Amino acid sequence: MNRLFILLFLSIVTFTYAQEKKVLYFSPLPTKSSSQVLKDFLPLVSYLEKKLHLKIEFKYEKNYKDILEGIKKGSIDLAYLGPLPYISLKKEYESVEPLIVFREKNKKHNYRCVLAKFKEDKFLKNEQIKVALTQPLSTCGYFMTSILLKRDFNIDLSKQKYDYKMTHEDALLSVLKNESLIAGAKDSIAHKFESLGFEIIAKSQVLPGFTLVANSKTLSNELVHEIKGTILSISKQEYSKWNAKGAYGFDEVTSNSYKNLSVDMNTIPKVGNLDE
Amino acid sequence: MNRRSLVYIIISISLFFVFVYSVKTVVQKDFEIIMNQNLQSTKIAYNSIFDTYKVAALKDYESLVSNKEVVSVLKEFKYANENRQNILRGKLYRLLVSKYENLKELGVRQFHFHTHKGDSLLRFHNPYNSADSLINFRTSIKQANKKFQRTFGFEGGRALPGFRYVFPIIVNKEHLGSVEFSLAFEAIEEKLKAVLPSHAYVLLMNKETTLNKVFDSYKKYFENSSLSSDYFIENEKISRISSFIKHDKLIHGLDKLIKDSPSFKELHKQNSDFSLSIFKDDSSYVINFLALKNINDGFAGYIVSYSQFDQLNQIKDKYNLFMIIGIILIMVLVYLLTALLKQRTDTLNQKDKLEQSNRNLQTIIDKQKNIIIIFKDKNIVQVNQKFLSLLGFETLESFSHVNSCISNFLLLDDSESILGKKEFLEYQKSNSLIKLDNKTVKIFNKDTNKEEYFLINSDSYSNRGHILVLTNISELLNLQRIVSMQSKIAAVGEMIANIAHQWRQPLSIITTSVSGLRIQAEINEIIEKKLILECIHNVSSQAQYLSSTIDDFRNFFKEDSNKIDEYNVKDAVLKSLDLTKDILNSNYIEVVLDLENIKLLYNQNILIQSLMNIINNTKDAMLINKIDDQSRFLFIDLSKNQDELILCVKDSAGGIDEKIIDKIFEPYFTTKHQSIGTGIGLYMTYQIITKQLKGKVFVQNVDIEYKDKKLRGAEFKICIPLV
Repeated sequence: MNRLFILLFLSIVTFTYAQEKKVLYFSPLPTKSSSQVLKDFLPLVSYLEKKLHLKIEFKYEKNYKDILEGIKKGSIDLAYLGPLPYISLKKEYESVEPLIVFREKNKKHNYRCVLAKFKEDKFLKNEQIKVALTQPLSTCGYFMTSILLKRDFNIDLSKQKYDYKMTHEDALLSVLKNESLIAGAKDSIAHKFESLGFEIIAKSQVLPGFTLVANSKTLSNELVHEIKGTILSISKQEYSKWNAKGAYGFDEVTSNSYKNLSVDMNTIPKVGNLDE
Repeated sequence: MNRRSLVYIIISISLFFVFVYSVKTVVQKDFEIIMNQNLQSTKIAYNSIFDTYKVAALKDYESLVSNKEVVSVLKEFKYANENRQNILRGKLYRLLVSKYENLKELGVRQFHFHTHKGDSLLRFHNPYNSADSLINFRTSIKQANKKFQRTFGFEGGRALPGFRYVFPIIVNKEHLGSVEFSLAFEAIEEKLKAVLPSHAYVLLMNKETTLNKVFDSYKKYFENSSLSSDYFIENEKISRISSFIKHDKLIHGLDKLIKDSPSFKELHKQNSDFSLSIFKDDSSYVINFLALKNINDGFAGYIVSYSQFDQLNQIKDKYNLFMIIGIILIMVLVYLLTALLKQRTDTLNQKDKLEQSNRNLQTIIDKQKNIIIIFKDKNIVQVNQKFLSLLGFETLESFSHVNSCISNFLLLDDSESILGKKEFLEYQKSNSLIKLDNKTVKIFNKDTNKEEYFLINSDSYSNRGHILVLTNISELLNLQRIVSMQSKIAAVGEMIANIAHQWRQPLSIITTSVSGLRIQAEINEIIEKKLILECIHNVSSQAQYLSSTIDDFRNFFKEDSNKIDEYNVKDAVLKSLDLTKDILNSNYIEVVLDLENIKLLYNQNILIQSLMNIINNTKDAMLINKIDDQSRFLFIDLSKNQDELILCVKDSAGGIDEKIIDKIFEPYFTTKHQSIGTGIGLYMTYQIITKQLKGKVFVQNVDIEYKDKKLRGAEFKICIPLV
């Protein structure tokens, strides 16, 4: 009788523990090599596992589309996304919730996208211009550059010559080299080029940075709140030790921060049109 | 373990260590020569490459200062406000960005303009990072903008270190700033590999050149070298070489060995060129550390080359073989030396023993009563104390100082048997000292102040060495003279006895004749004339016989014993029998002769005397042993062989007791009653035969069969050389 009781007790304990030790699948945006990306998120993931008694497994996807699909299918619980993929996903899949944003080195989590050009270059609005862009997925790339050109200069980017230079610096250097007239880039990087005679000709609204999103379809509201609360309560003393993502701290973010933004990713060209 | 083995082991070990140390030193020297050559080659190659780039940089510089647009921008920049300067910076970039792309292809990593104040004007490699002051960070920029000097060399920087060529820009005597072309190590390495193929070239830089100088944002491009925490390398983010060495197993293995090498630990702190030889997996490598000086001539780090160099292994193998052969030779040499040493020690021991033996010998010969002289090659090399006392010298040296021979001390003597000076010298000169054996010399004995006689016994102890033993025979000679006198007296006695025997019958006849005549005279008054005449005749004839007998003995004695004539030995035998015939007849001794005619050159009487002694002895033995009258025989055989006569005298007197047979020739030895024996007879016979006739006498008991009688007696066999 006693033995039966003990076996029953152990079974309950094991089951409860197994329930608590749920495996979460986390997929970061493939901005770098897989090893570097995993390395970047290891401190944060380890911290969460320890604090929440969770098992978090990395699910590295080479393409952002696969991440979005994984979230939609429920195979991914947590993801690290830029503003543009998030907006795109949110439009199609309501159950994705932004939890936190990662602060940058300047302690800010938000930024603006700008248009920059060399001061002495003539900007003739009725002539076709060459535009240097970062990359298709970048918020400051085709997405925001087209918005700013249209908003401030009534210029339709799709009718201009544009090229993806992949990084903000390279987009700005393209202007410096006189290969393009205008570059779309992050404001902080564009400001560095002011020492090379650059001027900012258009600015976007303040945009939230990269965000950690949760799949509220696969995770309970309690767990989502628990994850968010745990991250926001990480002490400075703790995160400043990390030489990885989150080393400058975290800020809370909600879907409201993206309320004025909307994008159809399918409308963003994947390649430039210089050769056309 | 004996002492010799211990010495052998100690010497072997010592020589082994000395040899191994020497070979290792030689190997190290060879290695050093090769490594030094390799190091020098690397150094020359590096310097050449650096100079080649300098020429190219100079060309580029000249092209810049001759570019009017560039000069114009720089001139304007000097006096412009900040906003304008920003635009001019962008313009300058635009003007030269294609040039920068070309320079990059040639290996230039940093193309950098500086203001006339020494601030950064434009970094083509980092264009939006400018306006920072470099004057206090960069010596080359200070030199260019304060002293207007061109500066070439390795130097750290705010962004990245580099091999720099910095030129002041002075156009129309106006100083507009400076420009630098900096090479990444990759550019140098590429050329080094082309000129001097090597597995890898790596640049190690010290902290002063790297972390202490660069912007914080650039620190991420550096990491510690795997060789030492004192040095840094540019990491994979910016360095192709780091990417290579990080994944190269050989470099990893070599670095581990180098890091643990005591030579490296010691040498790298000296901040000067050095080379290491590393052996790994059956291959040998030379690792050159070329000390890199910065523009201030301070130590900045090392250019390290990793080259496989199988020649080192070949040298090592060659010297290993040499070392094995050398060690074997050393062991053989040491063994031989030890054996030689033992031989030497043994020789010294033997010498000591010999010297001790010589001292003992000297002591022994000094203790001898005889005089001992040892010759070697005709020279006297050793004498005893008796010799020195004899001649009145303290030492042999004092003798040898004035004399080469003892012949000077020999005295002349009337006797022919005494050796004179001349004869002695002849023997000595002809190295025939052995022939001095049994010779007698006369020397004045300074010890006794007497002239004395010495009998020489000579013997040889080697082909060239002789030992002379001089025995003082003066007393013996005196004794011999006495014995001789006694023997003569004895002989006279014997002769008288013989005469008495011979005279007995004639005297009896005379007495009988005279007595008969007296009786006739008493009986008859007149004696017949015939009777008187017969008596007279008898007396007369017997008197003549007596006279004849006297003459015979007188003649025998009258003969000079020293007179030498050739005579027939047979006659001498017959004469001795004639002299003893009465004794033999009266004792019924039958003489049996078998004599050959043999001539001998010597004194006849001494042989007769000898025979008479034996015959008398035979007669005495017959009587003592009471031999039957019918069995008394005396056999005398005379014969000769090739070079000696053999006179054999044997009797039937019963023989000599075997217990005393060896003593019968000793003087005064007799078995006879004192009334008849003196013990001189056989002694004299022996002396005459052996000393004077140089012969030999043997005696033995023999069994004889004669006239169907079995007899036993003594046999005296006398052998006398015929020459």
